[in-house]
Amino acid sequence: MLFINLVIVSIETFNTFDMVLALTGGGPGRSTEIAALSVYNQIFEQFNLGQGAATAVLLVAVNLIMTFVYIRFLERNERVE
Amino acid sequence: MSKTRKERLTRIGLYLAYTVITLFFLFPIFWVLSTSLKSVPQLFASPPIWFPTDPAFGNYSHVFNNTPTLRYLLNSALLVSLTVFFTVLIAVLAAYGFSRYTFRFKRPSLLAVLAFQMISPVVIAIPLYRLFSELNILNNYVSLTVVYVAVVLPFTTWFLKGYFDTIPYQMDEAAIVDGASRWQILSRILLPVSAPGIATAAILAAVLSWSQFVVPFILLDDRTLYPVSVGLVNLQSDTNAVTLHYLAAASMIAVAPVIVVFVLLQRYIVSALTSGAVKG
Repeated sequence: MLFINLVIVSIETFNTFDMVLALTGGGPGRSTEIAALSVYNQIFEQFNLGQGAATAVLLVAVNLIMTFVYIRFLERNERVE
Repeated sequence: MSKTRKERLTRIGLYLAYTVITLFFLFPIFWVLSTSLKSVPQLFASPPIWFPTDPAFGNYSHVFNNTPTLRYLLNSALLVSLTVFFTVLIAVLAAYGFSRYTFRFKRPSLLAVLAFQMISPVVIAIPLYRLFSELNILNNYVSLTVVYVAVVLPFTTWFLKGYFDTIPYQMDEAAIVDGASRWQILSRILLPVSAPGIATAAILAAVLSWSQFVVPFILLDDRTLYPVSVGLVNLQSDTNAVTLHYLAAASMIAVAPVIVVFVLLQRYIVSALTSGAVKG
């Protein structure tokens, strides 16, 4: 149970967007530009759709790996019938 | 003797811990409230002023008169009510299916629903932005509500599925013996019994859709359509002048309805968050 929560919180933290946007906007420079914000900046600030989309695919890959881990532990705890 | 003493000590320790934790979480709200009542020189006073003497309530009237905060609130309310209605409608049916039927690929479909929830909303919103701009349905509440429902639905479905699972299958069987159809089982037996669960699901869906930020941020450019979460961030970046006190006042106005609703529905929300069915 503890580990499952750990995974959920990790995924949610990894996907944080609004907090960073409102607090620092990725700055100073790009030092706090996390993955999700980087996708947004590349597409809507630098108008580089291809590069942003590529970053987004990487983001999905990480999300899916984490989800896989999550489901493995969920099944070990026999939550899913 | 020593046992009761020990018990009392534990209790004092516990309440001390509660107090510290509560203060920790209340502090930001207190700080916003305090900031919203300051005048400009007080904002930059050093050492900081905790309780502004002669509170500047003018900040609030300024926000009401010169910023569209009220409009943002109404937009949010509209979006949330549409989303909750459709989410609950679909989630009840889906959860009934997942809970009561056995079919091929049931487990994979359940897990797929779960996996969708784990994907970052940024990733969902960007292809949708492209699609919507091609179809010319950006800045449209109908399409936005569809996306909201899609984002909120996985969690709600899982929650309701868990709730339906707690209702014994014997009730369905009894109804079948009495000649009830599948639809009648759902509408006459399951729905009345699970009313508290559905209410909880609706509350959770409302909380989730109220706090949506990424989806409206990317899919809306028309300022008059912004929900309150996006509106506030834009208020912040709008002007170069010192507007921290106005921003704080607008934030207080934005959270006020949420706090009122929370206090009114406190019992249900707390039981929703602590009930065993919430697992992600």
